[in-house]
Amino acid sequence: MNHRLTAPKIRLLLPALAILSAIGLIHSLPPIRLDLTENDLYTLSRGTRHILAQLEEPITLEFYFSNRATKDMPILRTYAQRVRELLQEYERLGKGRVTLQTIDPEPFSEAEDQAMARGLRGVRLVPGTPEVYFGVAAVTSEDETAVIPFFNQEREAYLEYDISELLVQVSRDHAPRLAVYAEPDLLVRGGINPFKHEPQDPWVAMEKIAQFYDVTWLPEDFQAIPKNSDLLVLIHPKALSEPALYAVDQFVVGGGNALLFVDPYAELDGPPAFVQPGRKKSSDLNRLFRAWGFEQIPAKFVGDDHYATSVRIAEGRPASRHLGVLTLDSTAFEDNVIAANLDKLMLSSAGAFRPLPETSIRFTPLIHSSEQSMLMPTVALDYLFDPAILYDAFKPSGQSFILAAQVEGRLSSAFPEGAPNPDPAVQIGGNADLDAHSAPRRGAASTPHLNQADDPSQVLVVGDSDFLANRLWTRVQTGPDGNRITTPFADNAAFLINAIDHLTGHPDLISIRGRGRYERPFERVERLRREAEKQLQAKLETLQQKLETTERKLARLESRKNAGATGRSGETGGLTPQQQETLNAFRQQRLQIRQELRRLQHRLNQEIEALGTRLKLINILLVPLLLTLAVLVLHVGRKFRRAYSQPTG
Amino acid sequence: MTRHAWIICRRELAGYFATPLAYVFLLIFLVLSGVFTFYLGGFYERNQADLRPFFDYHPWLYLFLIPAVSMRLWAEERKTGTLELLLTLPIALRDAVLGKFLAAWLFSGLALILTGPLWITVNWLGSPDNGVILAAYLGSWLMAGSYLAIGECLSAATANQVIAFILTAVVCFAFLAAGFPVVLDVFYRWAPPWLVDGVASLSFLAHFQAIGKGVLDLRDLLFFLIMIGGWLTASSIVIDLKKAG
Repeated sequence: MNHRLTAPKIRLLLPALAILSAIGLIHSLPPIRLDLTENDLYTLSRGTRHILAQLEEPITLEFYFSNRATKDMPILRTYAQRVRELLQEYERLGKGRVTLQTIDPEPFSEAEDQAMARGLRGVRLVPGTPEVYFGVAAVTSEDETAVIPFFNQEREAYLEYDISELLVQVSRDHAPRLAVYAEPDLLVRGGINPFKHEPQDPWVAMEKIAQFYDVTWLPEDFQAIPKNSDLLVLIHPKALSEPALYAVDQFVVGGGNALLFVDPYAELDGPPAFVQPGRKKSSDLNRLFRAWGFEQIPAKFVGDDHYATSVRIAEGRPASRHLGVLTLDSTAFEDNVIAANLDKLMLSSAGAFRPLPETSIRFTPLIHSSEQSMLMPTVALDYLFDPAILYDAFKPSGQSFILAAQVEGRLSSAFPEGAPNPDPAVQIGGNADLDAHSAPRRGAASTPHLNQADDPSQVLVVGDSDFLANRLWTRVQTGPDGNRITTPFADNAAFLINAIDHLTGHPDLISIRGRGRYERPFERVERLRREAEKQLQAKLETLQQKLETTERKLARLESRKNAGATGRSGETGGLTPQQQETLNAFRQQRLQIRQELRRLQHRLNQEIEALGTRLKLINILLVPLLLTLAVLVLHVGRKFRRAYSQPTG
Repeated sequence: MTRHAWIICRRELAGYFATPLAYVFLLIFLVLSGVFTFYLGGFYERNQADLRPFFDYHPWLYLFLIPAVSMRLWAEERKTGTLELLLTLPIALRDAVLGKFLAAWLFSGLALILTGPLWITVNWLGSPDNGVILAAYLGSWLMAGSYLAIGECLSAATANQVIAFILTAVVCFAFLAAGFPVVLDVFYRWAPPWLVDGVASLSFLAHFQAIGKGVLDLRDLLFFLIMIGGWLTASSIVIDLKKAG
């Protein structure tokens, strides 16, 4: 009996075993998938396919992942799985040119040494546990290497871009060639500061690009750009001669890429205005920009209350918020490969760009100001001893301004008439050196003039040049061994490197964009909000203004009070009873204004909340109610039919 | 699928609507999923045009709603004694198993279709990625199928519907929780990574979420199909066994 019962029971084990082994086997299947997402988030793009098809030599992708050390990190493991599958996709589409190796660098193993030698970064994610390696190295047959030291999950949207960039980096035969021009008075390459008469070190950002790229510095009076340059970089091009402008124009119209830092007010260009009054500190390439389909708003900088930074204008003075010195966080960055995953950028008196109406170019904003901003005249910066003064003229425009942008397209020349007149009299350059001009112009003349581009170019414009100066992104100290130690506090240099990598990359690489459109706000709600705001805008603005004035007055009184309190120990501080009364009145007033503002804000949200409630009711109750109704109708109908059919049947 | 399975399926479906059971189930499902989406998931407040807050609660909703559907599949037949009758009909056992399963699965599909107003709402409010939503609906339906297959097997194992309900909820919960760090912790200490990954790969949650991202991966689809197939096979074996016993 017992025996008879167990035999069939064993049969039950069969499906159990079958399920387990089948599920075990599933995982060794190749990833065959149907991507239903709108942007094909999980499918390699055409740009990557093209890069893979053009690989000339075989590349090994060494994927390092600490398998054992991450046993209890399910989120990281899931991401690692996603990365591994993407790499497998590269291998599959590489058709033999790409080989994937998965390596688990256990602590103190040879594999770990190899990972470190390749330049991967071990990260201790949990204190007391071994370091985790999670990166990839692309290695050619000649042992040239490019690495992603550690996959940062925040860059998930750009994962494909990063891996494809690795392939492009490792397979190119030379470092990208940059032609760089910087306004000489900025002393970006170091030198003797003629105003302070002290030696000045090169800008750290310039040392960085010299480290990664093949940099050719254009002379002050350049008239041609080396043809083999992969990228033209101009930093505060203040006094370009006509032939230089022409050379820039033709380089870009001819399909060259450019990274331009054009500054309406370069703080570091020469001494302050009280030392050298009337000095021009602005660079302006609008003549070229307008032909290319956009412009920079001249003689204006963007003041932004939301991103304003506290600065100390001189030793011993209190720090105060400076509307022109902006500390931008990720809320100011558009979703794009260059600024994604940067945390902080600092700009100082930056200019704003805008596309011209009816232009055919593609104008993509990269960085923008907040809506608490306005365009302010750069003259205001000339004798600025107290940045707080800027607030006096400040009135938020409710509009955000574009501080950096990327321009793509087939551009038109700003010189429709051809090369500029060789007559030195018409040159803007001022004290032009005739001898130096003659030779390159002959060279320039040998290339035919281009009026309209055949190939699309990429121009990236940033409305600031101080952006690259040390004081806006890194502290520089001299270590005990005499070496310089730089400690970045903003990501300005990372932005520069990202931008250069992006612009010197493969055209295919540029076509791969971040593909996560993760933000999908309720457009209808946004519209409602905007309409309500428009209705209440005027009222809000007056209130806001009133609040600001009151607060300013309050701050002034309070600071006087505090100053008095520290100066002498009177019980009312440095205020007369009258002033004290005013102070109290102001406080009362501030409270009232705030209350009113809150009330308005509440009214703004009312309509939106009402819509939410309606939707909740419809979705939670409507269908169940209809269902109940349907059931009731059916039930009654059935009863009816039964009642009818009874007498006859 | 044979003709017989289809006949059984239709008979079962008709049975659902003969009693208020189906109606009550649909009502509870719709109201709860709405409440979860809007109140727990903060669908409206998060201001994002997707149905994440809706689908995120499905595994948990199913945990007690699906056993309620599946518990009576065989337990009732056994209790009322109609099981013997059914087995004497010239119908293969696996057809009966399949037919009952299909009826329950179609019924749960109907429940999903009735959540359509939410889909209309999200499209009215913004522009969601409808590919992702479609995939998530499919994933949810497949997951419901797996729950049902488990429920059918356990319903066949007992004559008591309450026991069938509880057993199903427990087993489904085990499969759901297999991917959670808390559960995997038990294995970390001693098991090699492949075993830990193996246990994790049994989790409904992981596969459901993978499909819910908008990618139909053959492996995720196979996972659910194997689950359904395996548990249905087990159901026939259990019934056969009980008959023999």
